[in-house]
Amino acid sequence: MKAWRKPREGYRLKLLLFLYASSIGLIWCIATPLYAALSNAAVFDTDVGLFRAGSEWLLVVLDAQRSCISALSAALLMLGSFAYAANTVLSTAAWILLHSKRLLAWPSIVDHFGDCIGKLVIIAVGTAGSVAVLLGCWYVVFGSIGAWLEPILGERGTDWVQLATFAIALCATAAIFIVADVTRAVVVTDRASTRFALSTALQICGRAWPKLGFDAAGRVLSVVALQASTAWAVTHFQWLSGTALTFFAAVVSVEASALLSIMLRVGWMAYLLREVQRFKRTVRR
Amino acid sequence: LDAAQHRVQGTETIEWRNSSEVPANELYLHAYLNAFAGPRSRFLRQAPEHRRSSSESPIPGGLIIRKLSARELGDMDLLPRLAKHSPDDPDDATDLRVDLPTAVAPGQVVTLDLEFTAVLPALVERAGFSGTFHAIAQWYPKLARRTKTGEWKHFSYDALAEFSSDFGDYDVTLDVPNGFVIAAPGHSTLVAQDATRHRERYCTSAVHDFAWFAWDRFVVTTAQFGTVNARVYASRDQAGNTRRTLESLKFGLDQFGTWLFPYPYADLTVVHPPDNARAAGGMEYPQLITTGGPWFLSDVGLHAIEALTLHELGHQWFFGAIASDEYWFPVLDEGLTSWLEAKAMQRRFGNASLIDTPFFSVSEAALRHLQARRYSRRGPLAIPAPDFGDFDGLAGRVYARFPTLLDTIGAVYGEARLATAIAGFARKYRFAHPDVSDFLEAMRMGLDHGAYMALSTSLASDGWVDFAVTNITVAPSTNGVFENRIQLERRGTLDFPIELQVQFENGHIARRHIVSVRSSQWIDWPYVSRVRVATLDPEHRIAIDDDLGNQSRRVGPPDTNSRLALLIHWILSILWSFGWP
Repeated sequence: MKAWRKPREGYRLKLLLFLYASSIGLIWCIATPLYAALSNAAVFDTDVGLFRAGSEWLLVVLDAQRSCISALSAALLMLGSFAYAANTVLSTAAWILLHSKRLLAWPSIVDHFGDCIGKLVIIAVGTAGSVAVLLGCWYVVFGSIGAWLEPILGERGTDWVQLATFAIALCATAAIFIVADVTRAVVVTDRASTRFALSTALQICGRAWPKLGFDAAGRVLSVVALQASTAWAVTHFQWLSGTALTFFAAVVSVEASALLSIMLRVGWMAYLLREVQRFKRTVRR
Repeated sequence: LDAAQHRVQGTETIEWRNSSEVPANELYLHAYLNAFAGPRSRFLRQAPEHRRSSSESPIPGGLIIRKLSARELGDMDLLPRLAKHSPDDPDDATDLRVDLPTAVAPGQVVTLDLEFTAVLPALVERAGFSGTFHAIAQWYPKLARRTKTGEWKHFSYDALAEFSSDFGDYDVTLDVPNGFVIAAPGHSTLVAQDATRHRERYCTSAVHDFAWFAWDRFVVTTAQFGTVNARVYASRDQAGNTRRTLESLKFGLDQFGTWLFPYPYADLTVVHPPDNARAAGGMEYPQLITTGGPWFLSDVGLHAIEALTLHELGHQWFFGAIASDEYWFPVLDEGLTSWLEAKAMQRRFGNASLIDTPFFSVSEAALRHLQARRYSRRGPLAIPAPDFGDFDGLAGRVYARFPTLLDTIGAVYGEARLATAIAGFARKYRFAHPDVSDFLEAMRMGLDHGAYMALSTSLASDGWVDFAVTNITVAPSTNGVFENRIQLERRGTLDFPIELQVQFENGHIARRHIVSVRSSQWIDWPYVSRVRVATLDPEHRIAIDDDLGNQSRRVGPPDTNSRLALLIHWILSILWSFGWP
């Protein structure tokens, strides 16, 4: 087996830019008809006016175009589904391209892609189903404990307990996503069956759960902080209702947040691929 | 109060003077709690999804009158003369007629002695119990109001209607187990206390109802606002909401006192029900209001507690002191109070009056106007509560559409003029039970003819309007002047003066004031440049307009809305960040 070689300089940057550009393209598939519907509204005469006075007029535009957006909703849903499916293909490509520095030939990459795409789709569907079941169970528990606890703990105490159940459910959801990602990494690394990959992933997670958990939490919190701080800056400084310069600042902030979010995701994928390799070496010994 | 059985045993003395011009051969008693006595009452016959609260009461209630006698008739037992059910409704017993053996002459007094048991239902709407929390409202046999002409304003309890009675002085002694705190209107005096129970006496004057609450977890916070002694009753967890409630009371008493007339009582009680009794919240009684909401409301940027407090406080004027009939004319109490609340919230919080976060702010008026447009062309606004059909319809038309109409009149004809007219109505009809004709007369005296007609049409008929720019034509230039023509249309039964703004290709912007738009008319606007955009009502004064999407028309393709495009792209990319497989 060839030793893993460090990727050439600039490779990951090209991959990132490719993913960013593809994401923008897919987002605009959904955004374009929505934008066409909303911008047709004749209730304002300037772009800037939408975002003045507490964005009140934005609500008016949304309401004025309500029937138009409803009519588009089926098409938007289809476009959204298509975009999500296309993004699954992109994601699979990203996994394989990140791994592909071990393989040199493009035909091999294409063959690898064909081998993995079905399994990754199964993982995506399984993940969604597991999360749905988990959240359903949580919802039942959440609803039933309130009336029971309230006479004992009061409103505030009961709310805190309910919040704690939500936190537990959130951690369990995060664990499902991490296991799913590690499973994807195993599938891509070993071309293993989904079942074998899942069992290997569970072993890896069992051994390295603190490291994986903290890394994932850090990345998610970074994305949240990034988006929240962008939102705060844009709204606090009213960049959307300001001058062309402030609008440019808004554009830069939004796109930088999007690119950084993708970077964090790709970094996580590369990290998991390394972890799987490390696990395989450990097992072989 | 028997807190274990959730019953109130009571004795009552009603001293009633016939102040009408006609002898009274009968009396009518409201027995609202009988609405929960059985599933076939008028209240419960209505489908749950049509009511204010869609819940069913698993534990029934009722009002059992065990004794009814008249002192002036030698303590004659009138119980056999008390009807068993509401007129023409054998399944309902909330509106009970008492047939008098001798008429009560104008100016004569009759003193009734009653004994009754109020059986509190599981709390569904306004009155009942939840755990140890007791909302004791509409709990006693209440005399209906009689007009000067001798008409009894009696009605059975409808799910969409509220309550109405006449002014009187109340002297109420309440007996509860020790450990329970009483929240009641008026000034209290501890009468007696022993090892297990205590009694408090409450006296209020010039009110038309008396509701009270008892709970073993109330914490009381008091404050003095000028001459008004305010008391807030809430659980220990509600400290944040209590503080905001008191701030809102101070603001509201000051503002409403200035705009209308000073709060006419010395005491004001506020009850914040616990979360499991939220059906008792958001309600008004003379000198007592109920609010509600989770303990963390104050911390998440929502001004719900302030809005609710100001709304219920506003009812102390439009319902309390003015006492329009809530059954026959809900628009006069809920409609006017909603307008008053929105005005106060705008004054206090500006455009962030509903949601105020670092990221996003929304005004209450914006949402109200949206809702008003959804309930256009549904008929007159001044109809009895049951005629609205369901609570959504009542809320949309009375709580949203009527205040939006007032906002439109204020924006077009002058806010100060409208406020003065409404204040004039309020001051003139203090303690006088006005009806819609009194309100319209006050508006006719205080407003322009156009404003009065808009109100009159909306209240009595069906008021709606849709202004539109439907066409723009530009004839080729002759002598350097283009013949610009703009077609305007007005649909509906209302009319308002309106501004037309025109933007030309050379960047020039001009406006023209139009007193009245005909159903269809062309406006000629010759100018050295072509029209680019024509917009009716550019400052959006006419909030009641049905369709804001047809008030502007462009010649040529729409301008690029880059900010809107960025906002859509940004929202989708945030979803993408968290949803990428």
